Amino acid sequence: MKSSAGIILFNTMLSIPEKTIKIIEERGITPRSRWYFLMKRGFIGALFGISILLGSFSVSTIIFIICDHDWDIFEYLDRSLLEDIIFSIPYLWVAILIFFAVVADYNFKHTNKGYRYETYKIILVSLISSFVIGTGLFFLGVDCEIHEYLVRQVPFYEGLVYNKKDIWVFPEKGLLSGEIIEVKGADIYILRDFSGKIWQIQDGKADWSDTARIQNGLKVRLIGFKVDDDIFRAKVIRLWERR
Amino acid sequence: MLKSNPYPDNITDQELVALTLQEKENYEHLMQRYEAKLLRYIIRLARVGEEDAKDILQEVFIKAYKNLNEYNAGFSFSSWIYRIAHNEAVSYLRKLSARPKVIKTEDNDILLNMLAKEPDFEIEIDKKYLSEEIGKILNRLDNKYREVIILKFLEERNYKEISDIIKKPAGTVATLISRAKKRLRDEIIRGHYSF
Repeated sequence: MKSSAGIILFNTMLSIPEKTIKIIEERGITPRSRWYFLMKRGFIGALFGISILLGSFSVSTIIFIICDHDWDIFEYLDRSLLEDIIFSIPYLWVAILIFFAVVADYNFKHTNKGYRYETYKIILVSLISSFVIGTGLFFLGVDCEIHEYLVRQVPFYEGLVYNKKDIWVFPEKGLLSGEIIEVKGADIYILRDFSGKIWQIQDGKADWSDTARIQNGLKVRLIGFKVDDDIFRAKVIRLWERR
Repeated sequence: MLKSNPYPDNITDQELVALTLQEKENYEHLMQRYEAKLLRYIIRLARVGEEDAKDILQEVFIKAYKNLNEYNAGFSFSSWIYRIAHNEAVSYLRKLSARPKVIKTEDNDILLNMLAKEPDFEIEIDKKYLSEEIGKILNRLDNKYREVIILKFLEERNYKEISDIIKKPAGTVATLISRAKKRLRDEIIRGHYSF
């Protein structure tokens, strides 16, 4: 039987590789399985892909919001075109896009060879990918679905992103919008604006920008002028939601 | 098992990794290949004495063994295990930041000679005096500069290897080395080590 002093002396005489093997045996250490690392890499790769996809949703929604904006009414709102551009940028979605580009960079850096690439290159590639996929999603109509869903489900979303209703309830400036609640004749109908006020609309020579028929329940945007406290003459009529 | 052949130099690191995964005793040969190099690197980077460095090295070998399946044959094994050693040394350095640093004076001449070969490091220096001080100057640099100087001039690693060890793009490594040399030169001039 070896004395404890003998064991200590024996241990100190061992080289580091010998000691390491001894510790590995004593503690029963085994290499982590190949699957563990494959799963880890797969998880990081998937997070990278998800970040790009979420960035793409942001891009498609940004395109939707920009396309949905009425670029010809800034004069009615006493704004310059530049002010209108600054006002219409959906900053929240731009911030979300940048956030996911940074998340994509972080995830990519944690892939096997990700650290070999400069941050700006990864962010640029992730933004370009998001723009390409996001444009595709826009043409597929996914953007509209997301935007409309958020408008319906998230109370503060519309105010944060782009509150179209606020812009289109300025009858004094020639802008009005709401839902048709009664058609009184070929040129006259009743509209309830988004603040709840009832208006009689006259559209004798209005430029009707869509083929939809005036009917109850139709939501519209009107450009024209206020004739009286509750009478508005429309020069241009547009559907509230773009198709 | 390779026990009968203590130094199988004709076997590559990748082959030894594969053999280790079959039988752990083969790991000893892999460790023997890197023992001296990594010990020296840890002493330089963590600024510790040999006994502490040995403890760190043992942890490095255990960690490398646990993660052996992570090693990808597309990389150099040397860079992979140096990366683990680097991380362990840096983490040790952070934990014991208040502890007095051990300066390995044998490295001073090596570093001075390596720096003297650099085309953009042309300064007239009092070599004898600077030889005693260069280690202290190096230790005054930020860790990010110190580690690249150690890897480039003392460990003689190329940009790609340094990039794989510190997990930064090669372009960033080049910038860090260039800035580190500038800082070193500025420190030397500020410290009146030149004539």
